[in-house]
Amino acid sequence: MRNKNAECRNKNAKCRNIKFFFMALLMLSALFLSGCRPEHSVVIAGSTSVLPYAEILAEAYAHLHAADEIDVQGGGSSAGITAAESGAADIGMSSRSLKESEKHLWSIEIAKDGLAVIVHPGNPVADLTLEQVRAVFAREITSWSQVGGADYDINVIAREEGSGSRSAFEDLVMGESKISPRAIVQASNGAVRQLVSGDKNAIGFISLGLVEEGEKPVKALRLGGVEAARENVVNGTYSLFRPFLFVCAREPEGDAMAFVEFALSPEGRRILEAEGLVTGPSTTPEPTTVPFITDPNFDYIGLFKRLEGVWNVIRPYADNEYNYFFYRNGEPNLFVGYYESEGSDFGTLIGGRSKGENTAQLIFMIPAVSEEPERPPGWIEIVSVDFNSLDSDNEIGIQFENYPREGENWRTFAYAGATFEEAWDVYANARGYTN
Amino acid sequence: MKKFREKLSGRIFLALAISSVAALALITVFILVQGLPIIKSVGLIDFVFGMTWAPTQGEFGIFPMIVGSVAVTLGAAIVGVPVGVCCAIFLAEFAPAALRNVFRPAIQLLAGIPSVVYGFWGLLFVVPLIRDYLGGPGLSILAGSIILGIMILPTIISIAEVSLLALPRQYKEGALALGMTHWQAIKSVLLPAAKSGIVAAVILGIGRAIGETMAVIMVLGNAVALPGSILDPVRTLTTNIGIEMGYAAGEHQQALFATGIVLFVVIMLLNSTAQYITRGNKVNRGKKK
Repeated sequence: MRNKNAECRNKNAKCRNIKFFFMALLMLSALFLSGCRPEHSVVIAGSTSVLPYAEILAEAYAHLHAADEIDVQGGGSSAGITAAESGAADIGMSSRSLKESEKHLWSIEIAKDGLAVIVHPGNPVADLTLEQVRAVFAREITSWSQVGGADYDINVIAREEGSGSRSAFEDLVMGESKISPRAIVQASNGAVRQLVSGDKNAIGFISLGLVEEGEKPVKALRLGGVEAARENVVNGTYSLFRPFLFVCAREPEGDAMAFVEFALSPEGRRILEAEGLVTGPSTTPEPTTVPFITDPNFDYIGLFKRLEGVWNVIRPYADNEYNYFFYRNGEPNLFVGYYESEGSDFGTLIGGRSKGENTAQLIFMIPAVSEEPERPPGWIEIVSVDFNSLDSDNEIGIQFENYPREGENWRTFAYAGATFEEAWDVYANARGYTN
Repeated sequence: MKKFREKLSGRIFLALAISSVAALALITVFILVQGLPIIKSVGLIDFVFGMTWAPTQGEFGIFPMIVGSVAVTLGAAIVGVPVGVCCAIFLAEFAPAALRNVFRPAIQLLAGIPSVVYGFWGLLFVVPLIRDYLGGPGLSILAGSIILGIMILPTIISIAEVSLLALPRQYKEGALALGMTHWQAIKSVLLPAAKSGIVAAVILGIGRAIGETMAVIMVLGNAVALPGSILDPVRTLTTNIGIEMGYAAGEHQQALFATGIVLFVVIMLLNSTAQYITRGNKVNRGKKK
């Protein structure tokens, strides 16, 4: 009897063993299978600074497109860019500008994140120049008394090696000098903030959106007199900000493009703004004079790039109809506009691609006095760009056309100048958008 | 059949025992494979004695962190050993049973507090105290030493106490019979006799201190520079890994694994010293008998 029982138990044990074996097999195969991607899947990888925002975007996007799967991973900006280049990820995230060697990749800025230099609220110092901040972090200045504060040692707090915030700070502030190795290192924005809020001699840098977060206050320093505030990032006067980029090997298509477009849509922007990022127009206010279009020496590619920046800004607001403004205060002004139509020689995107064609046209519009929205007489179409021009490597074929061809006035207006900032103001006012 | 069952159970236990050793082997091999290439390319001397740590710019010197680890561990020993050993003596020799029944569980509870809680407490309590009363940023060797000193108490107390209690009764009785006072008996008979156990307790405590990461990340300040005083921030080998792993890729990641190798070697050395001391002394005692 006992023997039989034992046998039984033994059998059970064997059974269990077999079961276990199969379970293990199953788990293993699951592991392998999970390597295969579902059909509608977009892999996004890169900067851990962008990561939380991309996750929020992906979540919102998933509500709209249930079939698509967005897989967001970290890894750091450089890893993300490499992954995008190699195709390991559909979209790479970067919290720094592209380096020269990466410039051939397609990239788009989804938002800007300001960096605030913060001190304890009780610190009498409220304003430092960029040079002073640099000297403080390099520990060339070690006492607050050297920058107008009390006679205490400055406790410098930095982020860890490899962090996007640190590399952005190094690029934007440190230049050739280095953050001192004696600086205290904390592993997150939150930890830096926490320390500074409790140490009246500390100085650190964190994401602008996080200055107001948290229970104990910290004070964001003015930088050369400019308040560290979102609107100053927007208008370009506050120089400490870094771009959050989506990077792809080439202009994305299909699901990946749909996600990028979602990030740039008013809804996407609203989400990012709500999370404390700066979206919308904040291109550096470089005055761009409208060139005389027949000047053979003019840098059209540079112009194109700058226009493309503007295009990225206004694109989410552009509907498929006329989006333009005409003149300000009765004066003709630079127009950066958008008009799309299929098959028409007039149909145009700025920095985009016309549907059904391989050419995209970049147009400059310097409207003459006219209130006719359909076709203002002063429009001058100066650049048409062929993205897929096969006979030139990495070069964008550009051709120029005058439009309208008749009339003398375009010459005059071709010299009319305005900064893109100004252009945006007029545009936004006309459209009822507020910054 | 019975025999078979016996055999089977034996095998199962063997397999499980092997799996735990296999985990060790797996981790060791992995760390070595990941970390050795960078040590090789940088050079062992330059890696261990290099003064600059800038992994994203290709500079891998961990000497400031080794100094940091040594300084903080030494500080922890200075804080924790006297308190721990005295506490052990008190529990083994002086404490009345009622008090002992309160102390022992309390000390065990101390061991049960997660290290991140120690760190958090240190950051919010110890660090501001140091900052306000002694100056400096507060995040410092001193703060780390205090926190770690407290954290290693349970290890030191329990092992030291056990080694005191394990002494033959005759030692103490003989000493008292010779007319020694209680304190004299402890000082000149019991402590020397339990020396090996106490030293092992200290070394294991130090091993704990040198391997601790989470708590010290929060209170040490993590600056990669040689400290000038105990009020300066430092980085230890463990915190170097803990703080930078999130972003590390490529060579940077390898360098962190290489840091792990150095740490691994140090802790191995400490543990084998502890074992050697305990074993060596036992042989001695046997000889004396």
